[in-house]
Amino acid sequence: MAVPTARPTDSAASAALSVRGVSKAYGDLLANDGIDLEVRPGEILALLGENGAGKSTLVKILSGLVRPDAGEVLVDGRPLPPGDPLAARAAGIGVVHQHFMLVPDMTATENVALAQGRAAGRRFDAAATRARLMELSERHGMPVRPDVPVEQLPVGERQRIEILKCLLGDARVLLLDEPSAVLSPVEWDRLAVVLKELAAAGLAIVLITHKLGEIAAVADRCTVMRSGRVVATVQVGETRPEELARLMVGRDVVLRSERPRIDPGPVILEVSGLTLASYRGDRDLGPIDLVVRGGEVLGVAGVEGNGQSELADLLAGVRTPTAGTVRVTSRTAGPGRVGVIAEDRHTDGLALSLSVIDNLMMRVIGQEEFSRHGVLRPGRIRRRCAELVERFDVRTPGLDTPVERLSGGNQQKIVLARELSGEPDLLIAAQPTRGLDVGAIEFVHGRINAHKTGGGATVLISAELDEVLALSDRIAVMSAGRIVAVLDAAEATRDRIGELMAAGVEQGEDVVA
Amino acid sequence: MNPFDIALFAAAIRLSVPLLLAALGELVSERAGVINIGLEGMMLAGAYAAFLAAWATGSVGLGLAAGIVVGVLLAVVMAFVSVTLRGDQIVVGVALNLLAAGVTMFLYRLQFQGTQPTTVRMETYPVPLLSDIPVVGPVVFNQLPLVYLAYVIGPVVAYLLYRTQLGLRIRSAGEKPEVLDATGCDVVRVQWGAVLTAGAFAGLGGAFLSVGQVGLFAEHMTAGRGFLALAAVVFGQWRPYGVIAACAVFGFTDALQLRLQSMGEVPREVWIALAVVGVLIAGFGALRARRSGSPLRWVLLGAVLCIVVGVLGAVLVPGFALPSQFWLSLPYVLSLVALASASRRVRAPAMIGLPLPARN
Amino acid sequence: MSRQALRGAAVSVLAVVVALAASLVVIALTGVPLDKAAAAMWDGVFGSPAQFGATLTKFVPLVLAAVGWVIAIRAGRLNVGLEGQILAGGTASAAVGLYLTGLPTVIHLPLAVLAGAVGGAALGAVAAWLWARRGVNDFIATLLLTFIVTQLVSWLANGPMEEPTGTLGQSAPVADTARWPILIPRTTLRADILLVIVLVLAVAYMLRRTVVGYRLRLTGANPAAAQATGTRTQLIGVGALCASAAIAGVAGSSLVVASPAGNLAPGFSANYGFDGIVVALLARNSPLGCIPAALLLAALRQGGGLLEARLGISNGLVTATQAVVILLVTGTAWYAERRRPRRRTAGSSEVPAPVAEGARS
Repeated sequence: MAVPTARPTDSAASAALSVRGVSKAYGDLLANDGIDLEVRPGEILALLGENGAGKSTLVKILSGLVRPDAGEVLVDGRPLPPGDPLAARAAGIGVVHQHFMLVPDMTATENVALAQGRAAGRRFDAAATRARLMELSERHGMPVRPDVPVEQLPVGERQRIEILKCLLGDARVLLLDEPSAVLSPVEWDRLAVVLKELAAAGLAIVLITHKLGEIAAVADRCTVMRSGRVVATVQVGETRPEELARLMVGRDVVLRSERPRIDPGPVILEVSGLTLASYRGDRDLGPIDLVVRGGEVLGVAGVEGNGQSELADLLAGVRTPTAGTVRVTSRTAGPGRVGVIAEDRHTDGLALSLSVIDNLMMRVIGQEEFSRHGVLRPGRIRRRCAELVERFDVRTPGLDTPVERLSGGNQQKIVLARELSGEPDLLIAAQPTRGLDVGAIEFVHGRINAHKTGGGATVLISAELDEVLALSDRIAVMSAGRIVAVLDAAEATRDRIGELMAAGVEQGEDVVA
Repeated sequence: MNPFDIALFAAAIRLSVPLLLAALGELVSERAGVINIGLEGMMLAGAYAAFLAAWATGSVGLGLAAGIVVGVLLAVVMAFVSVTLRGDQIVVGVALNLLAAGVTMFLYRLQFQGTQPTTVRMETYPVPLLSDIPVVGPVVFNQLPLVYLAYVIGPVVAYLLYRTQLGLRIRSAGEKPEVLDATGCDVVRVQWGAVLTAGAFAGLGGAFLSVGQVGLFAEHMTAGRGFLALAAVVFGQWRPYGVIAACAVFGFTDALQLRLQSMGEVPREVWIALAVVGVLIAGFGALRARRSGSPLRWVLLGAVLCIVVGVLGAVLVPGFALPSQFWLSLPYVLSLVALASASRRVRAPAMIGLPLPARN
Repeated sequence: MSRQALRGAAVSVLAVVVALAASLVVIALTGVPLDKAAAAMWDGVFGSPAQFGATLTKFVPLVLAAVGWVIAIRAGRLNVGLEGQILAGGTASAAVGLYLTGLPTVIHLPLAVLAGAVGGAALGAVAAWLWARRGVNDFIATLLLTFIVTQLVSWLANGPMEEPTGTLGQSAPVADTARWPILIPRTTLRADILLVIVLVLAVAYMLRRTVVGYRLRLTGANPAAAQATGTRTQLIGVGALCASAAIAGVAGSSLVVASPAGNLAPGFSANYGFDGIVVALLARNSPLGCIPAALLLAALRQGGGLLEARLGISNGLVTATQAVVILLVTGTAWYAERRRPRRRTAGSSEVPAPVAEGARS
């Protein structure tokens, strides 16, 4: 595939920031694979990619927090020493991280002074620092309160402090990592104006995002990343959003999973009026209405950060909704059983230091079969776990091996074994194949299909459009906390969904605003 | 008989000084994210080293210096194991207390074989002119030289934490080290510095106990003052002036307790004072609540309790003496109540007790 | 035994050997011949049935405190206040032994021991409440409570519970019906050691073989995953703190109703609460491992006593040796556990690889 590449229009102007052949691997995973990009002064470059595409790693490399395995970063034509945050800042790279780098119990003034480091001298002149902060704040139309601990400030204001912090550090290249993730649409609009002004003043800006609407609103060019590689760089004005969406979510691996078709059974999941107030900034999730039947997979597609994670939490019962109900009806007698593949298996799915057995037994330990009067029945437990390990093809040295010693794929298989072995009526699979290799992905898909043919209902939430397309009978497209459309598999195509995701972003935000 | 005389207040100041020294050092350390349960051991070792050096050289100054040095040495162990090797801070602190108690006992018995020699000690130094001011003069300005040092050290620590670049770094290390890391500053070095500071201050505080006040050493002579200093940091809610106030309160209750032990019953003045304290608590509480909007329930309850008990006591003058244990446990009770009733904004630095996150 | 456990045990043994060697060097420096010192140590521990009995008597509170620590730490809670819980339990036990007279031994003694457990647990419950409901750090709460209880017990021993005609600041001996029978004649060893062994085994069994123990370990390992799969983690945390404190309370009970004097004396906790942490550390938080570790420390305490009596080498050396052991074990924890993510880490970047980026950045 030829990589379309749009050069800066005025090629004579030297780049403020250029990245050449930067690579970084974590274990087997190539987070960055030969990344090249360039930004000129006065330009806003969007860096587009799904979670896991390697954007955050690139940001860490650019800010000097992570040393790349290969390649170099140049600022104004001069190479940056790798892995040196001080040098990166001195060279003029300012980063606004997604999770703010602000000390919560310090004021804006103090945070700014802290960031200045040695340049500010031994004692810091609070009055002078505050004066300069306020001067910049007024000049760029970014109001902040200088003397209130930042933990008491709204996120939008904290973000402005972060940007001002960079400007006070004489940044010439400004990197913003998913700045809109924490902002309301109104706040984002205000930030967009500020960013354009800053660019007009000669700053080079890199806007890292996976939201297409934002790119159309502010960016000049857009570099698209996927699986650690740059797949395209395009002029925003000449490219349709659907095209960007397709570039972003495509996958290099051709998926071979075949979708079994069976007649839908009785209704298992019934969601009505589900609402979660202000899940992100002042955006609300929902109201959401859904019905999923037995033998049916409902895929949830959408650009990440549009409420899918929160929906998964609500369905799994990890969070309590503000309003609305989730009803799970059992296929047999008794209450409906729910299995959950958590989005982040390390934080929510597994106890890494405990054994395979311990991790397999989390949900069922209290059942009569495995414990009697509060006493475990080790024989039965071992037999059951051995059987599960066999059935789910977990490659482990033994049942007592701590799970942290296993590979990501085998760890996920343990989660699957635990969640599916209880023969749940409803399976909630959130990003079930994130970070897995091809073989493991196929295995996971096979298991989801098996659950389906067994008559269970499934809600599949995934940022991988191919995955959603391959497995789902119906596809709900989410945007700005709502479901904007539900398509039948037959009518769902990548283009159609891309359009809905892109169009929905704008529509949805208008609605909320 | 009125217990509130000049000698009482002078004693209150003297008793709060070793606490203040140790607590301010500990404050710096905790703000940098390292809780140092070994404070008691550092004080004890400092007291012993100071005594030994003064006994050997006849110089109070060298004694104090020795106290500081030994305090720092123990702090080096603390910093190395808990910061560099990321061992558990609590466990290392427990070890340091054992180490200091064991080593001082061992060496003291070895060298002095059951005798209890005395050595030089610091003399009070009335500040010229100032000590002649009525009431205030003899209380505040007729003290040991180290007390005068303690007067200024509080503001110095406050200045350090809030007005210097280093202070910002210390606070950042204890609250959100990744920010400090991102500025290119070495978090480990900042924490080391903070822990060593705590060691030096604790050593000096211990030295004050031995060569400052009495000119002799006794096994376990710190008698829990290190833990009291820890409580003072908690009660002072991790703020320099709060810690100073906490040490003043603790020193005062200690002095009052010593005084009351010699009296048969609690005199009327004490009950009146209690009622006044209640009024003050209510007043300050109301002021703070108006500024921060935090709930007043607990503060008011405490204040009302103080006032009721105080007024009743003053009217009736019940004929019993409060046991010394009541006064000795008061600082810890106050600290716990303060912690339990505090709004969510008043809390320990986020990183206390935690090893630094690994950097990739 | 897994390789990791073996490596941990090796580190512990090595730490003890190094610390003992260091103290031998110190003894040599003081001019005491090493053979005499060693002989004194040996005699102190094994020299006579009385000496060995005394060693085992010291073993009892040590192993209990250690197991108490283990229960809490396995659930991710730090109970630094074992010392105070020992005092609370011992005092409650003494109260039952002193004032609830006229009962037969079979009722009175169990009641006294139970009172110890309840007394300890009550103090633990206060700390647990502060932790769970008021957001106070568990280690700050338990530590501060220890100092409050220390004063409270001192007041009781000097005031309400003091024996009017006896030694100042001590209670009268508890009723004979509330005291443990002597196990080996002419020693201080009483039958409480049998209960203790049962308790330690019970805790080991609880952690390995029961649903509660499973949930407790799960909570300590990953509270979020535990919560998400149906474990009530806060309840487990509270329960662990209370159970831990209850066991410390039983240790306190033994220090009163199984002591030679059989009465309440201030300071009877004798630092056993803090030494228990040393034992647990040495045992790498394994309940069964606490038995050899506690035996070792009890032997050090007991042998150190004779070292002092016979050769004038103060007990302080034993204390210092313990400290060196802790420092060595703590400082090398990364070696034994280097494959494990750290307990109680604040957050990010702990799991670099397979999650890919972004998930926790």
